Amino acid sequence: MSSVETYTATKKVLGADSLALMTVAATDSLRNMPSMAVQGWSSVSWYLLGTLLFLIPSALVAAELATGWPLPGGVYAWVREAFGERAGFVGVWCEWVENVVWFPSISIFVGTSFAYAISPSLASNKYFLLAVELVVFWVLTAVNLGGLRASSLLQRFGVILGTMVPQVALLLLLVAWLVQGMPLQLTFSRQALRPELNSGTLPLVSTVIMLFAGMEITGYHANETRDPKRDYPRAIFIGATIIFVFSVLSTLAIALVVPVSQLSLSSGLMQAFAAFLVPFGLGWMLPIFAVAAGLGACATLTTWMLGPAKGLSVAARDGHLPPYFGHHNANDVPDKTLVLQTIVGSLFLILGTLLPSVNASYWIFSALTTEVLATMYIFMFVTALRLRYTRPDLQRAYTVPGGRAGIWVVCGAGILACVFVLIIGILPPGQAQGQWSYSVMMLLGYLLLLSPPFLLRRFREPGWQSEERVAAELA
Amino acid sequence: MKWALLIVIGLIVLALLPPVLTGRGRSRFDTAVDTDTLRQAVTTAAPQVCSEQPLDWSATPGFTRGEYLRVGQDCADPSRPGAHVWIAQFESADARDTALVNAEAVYRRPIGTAITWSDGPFIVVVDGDQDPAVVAQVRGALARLGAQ
Repeated sequence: MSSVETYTATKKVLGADSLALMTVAATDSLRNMPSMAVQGWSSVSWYLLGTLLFLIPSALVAAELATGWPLPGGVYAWVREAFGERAGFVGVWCEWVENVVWFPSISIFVGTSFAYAISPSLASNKYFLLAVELVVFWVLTAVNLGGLRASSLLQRFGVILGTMVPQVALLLLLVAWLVQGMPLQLTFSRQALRPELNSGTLPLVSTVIMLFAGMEITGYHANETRDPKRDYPRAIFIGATIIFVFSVLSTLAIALVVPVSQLSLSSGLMQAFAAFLVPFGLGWMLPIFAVAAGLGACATLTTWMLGPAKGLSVAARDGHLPPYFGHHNANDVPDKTLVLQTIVGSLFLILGTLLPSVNASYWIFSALTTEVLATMYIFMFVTALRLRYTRPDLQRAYTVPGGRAGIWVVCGAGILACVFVLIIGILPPGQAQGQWSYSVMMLLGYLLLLSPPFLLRRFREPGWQSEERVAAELA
Repeated sequence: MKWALLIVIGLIVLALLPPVLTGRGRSRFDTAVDTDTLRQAVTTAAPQVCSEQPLDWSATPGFTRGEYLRVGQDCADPSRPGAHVWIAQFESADARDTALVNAEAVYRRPIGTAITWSDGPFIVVVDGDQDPAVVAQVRGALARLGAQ
């Protein structure tokens, strides 16, 4: 079936700048930098690997799909064009469910950052942390319920003040550090740039691939974009450049200044900020940086809360989910889906706080959803390939260069990267070495997470289709 | 609404699967263990100790003291990685568990190289460039101590 346009009279509130910042908010993150800084100079090579295998392919493909099919629903709409609605629903389900499970982990980071700014001693009180996490989570849900204009404002504010300003500050402090001739922790050599590839570090390849997940996020807001064909490619390429440059430079800044021995993997960002600020007598600024880091993570959380929920709501309006998921409030936001995902995330946060075994195993569940996200990206790359053959004449404002050979190279790299993530994710990691029950659990969990779209298909009812959709089909 | 409820229940069941199937928990906070015991276990198991420094995680809530160890097969050869090991002691179970959750789950899409353990008031983290053989020796030593 060809696409059924379900445009509503939506305000066009997004331009290229908002879309670029949304992409940065979804992908660029200070949180990962201390753990990447442990790699020293080779972090540059790791980032390059992730960029070549995934950031560039996903950015190019997202730009082509978003300009060729600027439809509401993003990934859902694109996959639907290539493989039909059923596949489209599976694709968007993968992205939505991954995010629902991931929300608690980013909420923990937001909560820890804000709690640290209020009082470092309170940042280790689990009940205080839980309260902060829940308040932030629900406040951000309320902001999203206020419509795209409200959430876009928060994203701009959060990503500039909370992600870009701290990164620029780190780089300025590095310059001051160099000017004053203070000691550096790394010595440059070609050997130091070489990433250590062995069975122990293979998971790091998965990490650097998935670090750059998010290029497709703006596609969910096609019907609220002023000029999708002009704005999407510009936004995606500006966003991808900012993400790569800031990630590499900020990570190197931390690696150059903070000794590996002092990099805290538990409170890495605060520890890294402290290492920069204290020698300059600026230790008093640490709470300000903590608030900024929390704001940056709020921008990330807001971005991921709304996009996939909107994709799911379009699938619901096409009749793949009960009308509950397709319901939009007066601000044209899928309010019930937003509230539902916040309830699920809150339950995870509460369970993780109260039950030590859940707390200890949350990372396994989180790793499981990475598999599901990689599956979504495979759908996206295969979609771009297929549409080049089935819709060659459709005008795209941007096309992946190099003709069919170009799209094969780009999508091939992306698919290979995602298949690699799938395989690595199923093997027991260092944390669970030798525990084959881990692999069984991952496979079982993966199949269970993918099963709802198929179950829902079996039990779907005619009344699930929206009136607009029924009218469109009749017309 | 019925379907929404089913999806919530399904996700919660999935969340409870990992602890049931992998049986992973946290070590009891009052387990009798000290920095020297952990340090000695790691240094005895690893072929060579390349460097050893006290840990300064002053910006980490609840951190009291700790040790950083760099162990390897051949410390003289910088092209041969070993393992970075951080041993950190915390003042309360909440502080220790918060630190562990941050290390394990905060990073986006966490299929990573870091390995974490809890043992009494301590967390032990291994990360960075690593030699699987050295990491296996460290893992074995910590398992013998009962670290989880």
